[in-house]
Amino acid sequence: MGLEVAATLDHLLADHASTERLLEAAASEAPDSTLLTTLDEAGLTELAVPEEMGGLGLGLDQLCLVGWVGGRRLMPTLSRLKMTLVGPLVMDGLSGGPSAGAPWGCGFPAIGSATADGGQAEVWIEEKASAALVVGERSSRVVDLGHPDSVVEPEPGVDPGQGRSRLSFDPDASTVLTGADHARIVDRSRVLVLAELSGVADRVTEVSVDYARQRSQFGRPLTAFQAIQHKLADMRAGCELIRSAVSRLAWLEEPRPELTASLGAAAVSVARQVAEDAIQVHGGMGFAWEYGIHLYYRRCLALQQQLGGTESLRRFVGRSIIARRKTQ
Amino acid sequence: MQAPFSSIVPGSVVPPTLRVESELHDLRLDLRRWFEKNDPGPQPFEYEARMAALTRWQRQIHRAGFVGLSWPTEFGGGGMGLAAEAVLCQELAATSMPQLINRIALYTWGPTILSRGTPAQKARFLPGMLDASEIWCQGFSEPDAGSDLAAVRTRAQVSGDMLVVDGQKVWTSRAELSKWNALLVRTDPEGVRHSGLSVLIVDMGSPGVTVRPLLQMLGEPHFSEVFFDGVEVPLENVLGGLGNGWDVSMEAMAYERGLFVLERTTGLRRRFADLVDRLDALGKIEGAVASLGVLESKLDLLDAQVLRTLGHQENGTLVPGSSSVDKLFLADVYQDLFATAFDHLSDEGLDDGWIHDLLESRSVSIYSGTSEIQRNVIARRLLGL
Repeated sequence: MGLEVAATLDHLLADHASTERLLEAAASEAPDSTLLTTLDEAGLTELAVPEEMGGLGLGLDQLCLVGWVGGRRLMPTLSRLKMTLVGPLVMDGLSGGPSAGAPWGCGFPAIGSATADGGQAEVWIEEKASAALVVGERSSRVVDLGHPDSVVEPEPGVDPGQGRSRLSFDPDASTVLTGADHARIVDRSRVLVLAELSGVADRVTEVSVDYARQRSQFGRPLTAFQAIQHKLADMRAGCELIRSAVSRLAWLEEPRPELTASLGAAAVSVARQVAEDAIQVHGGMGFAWEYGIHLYYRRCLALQQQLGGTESLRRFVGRSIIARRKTQ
Repeated sequence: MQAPFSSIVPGSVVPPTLRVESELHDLRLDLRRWFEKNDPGPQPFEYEARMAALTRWQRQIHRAGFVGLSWPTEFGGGGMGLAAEAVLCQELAATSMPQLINRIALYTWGPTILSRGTPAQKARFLPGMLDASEIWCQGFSEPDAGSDLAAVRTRAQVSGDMLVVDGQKVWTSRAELSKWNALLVRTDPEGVRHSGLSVLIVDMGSPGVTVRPLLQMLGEPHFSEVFFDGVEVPLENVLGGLGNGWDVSMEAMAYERGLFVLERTTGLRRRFADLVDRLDALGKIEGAVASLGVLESKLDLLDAQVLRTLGHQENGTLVPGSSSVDKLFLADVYQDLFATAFDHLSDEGLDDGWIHDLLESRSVSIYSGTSEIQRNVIARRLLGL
């Protein structure tokens, strides 16, 4: 099932998310609502929902393949959030609000600091969204965007055109979600960030190898230079490492949030290096707006931030070592 | 618009890694109990005493039935999968002597003999690998053939039912302890580069073999120059057929990546735990928390990589060249760990062990294919450049 879903997603994104369209979206403030609607209508929000709750119930390994394809094609961030968080959490416990397939805003639970209670959150919001999901470690809140205390300030950040915003809200006026599966859904949403990183890194490496093959300097293709070969080899090695991290997490019998955090901390650094090398291999083209290599770099940086930021991730992993010692 | 994501059948897509958490729970408990009872205590710092202690240790583990868990039972193995070896590695890492002395035999040449050896070779060579009564080394590098392995000049000429070997090898690890040497030689003088090479199993006690220890930068005779002067080797000791030496060597190197890297990784985990202990004792753990986080996450990533490689090895789906990634990243993590330890312990708390390990870590990006060679392999085999 995962293979066919992934193939379908790949086709949809190939049709609707060309480099030109992605660059257009990046230059605008709002996310590409046509594309988001297309993916919603295709059933993206049902993929991670258990079958007994009316979803497709894809296993984590299958979701990872879908996320990987999304990474390769620079899928809208909101689509991942709707697939991994809005779908499973909203179907798990909301009545009277918008359906998961309607326009939404959604936050991402950063490792080590995810709380839904502060009245402030970073969220990604699509046009016409009437509600936003603020996701914490153990509970989430559905915020009515029409409430007078709900204030949205666009903050596009490093990966613009995704609808990233700062949301202020009144926690007391929001609906709390605390499903039994909440922690598992949160962990999965983080594993899916790694799957997306894997796709981004793989794709940008392929693009770089292709470019180096066809670009000639000093009468030889760039791939004839060992300095370039070794950079491309490091990029490919990085891709393999990220894929191994995803594969490890996808096949655990029980979620291990500390391992997700630890592999996440390593993977975001590796992916970032891969994207930086991609820009370098492309030379001036890598720095050009229209060629779009920066989109992969931006996505790597954005995913790194979403997961928690390198420094805080490292500290979180370091602290969990200390905490384990104290309990032993 | 139709709903293209629905109405489809389940099937798994992300390739599995070796699963070590839930499987083999009984084996893990057995090992843990046995190691707790039999742990020999800290290994001697002095080189020769350390080697002797390690040899005794492997023999003892073998007697308990835990060496060669993935080898067929008919050759004294445990008849289990690679996951069992992985569990052994992990549990062994928690002991004071987290390595098996005959690792070159167990992780590299044993599997190669199982795959390519004759029935007589299997019967003759495998048992001594398991109980460490016969230590193995491998003779690849030469003074003029280091990274350029296909340039080997040590030659072997057929004479009756013997081969006569002349030449010199260098950087041969543990040559002075070894009974057998898996020796890459040129058997066809007309052969160019990768053709005309063979792997011979040479008795290091044969007349004409001279071992001259080389001190490496730690001052230890960890490796040697080995001279071959008219050394007679029976033709039946050719591994994998005359002229197939390159293929046999490459297969051996591929085995080396899996369990060997896992073993080094679990050893690193052990040293990482030592570092955490040391920093805690010195009251410096808070200041090092981000550095420790980096190391922990790199170790987890290295584990993930190795378990995926082993999963592919078990399924027979390993892509040629892909295990160069394991070696490349092993060197990175290995060197990062000991450099970090040195930096954080430098003011106080730096004992000879940490200095030893930092110096030794520089060998990891050189031995069995430098990091540059691994990048060449990745560029050629994985990227098709």
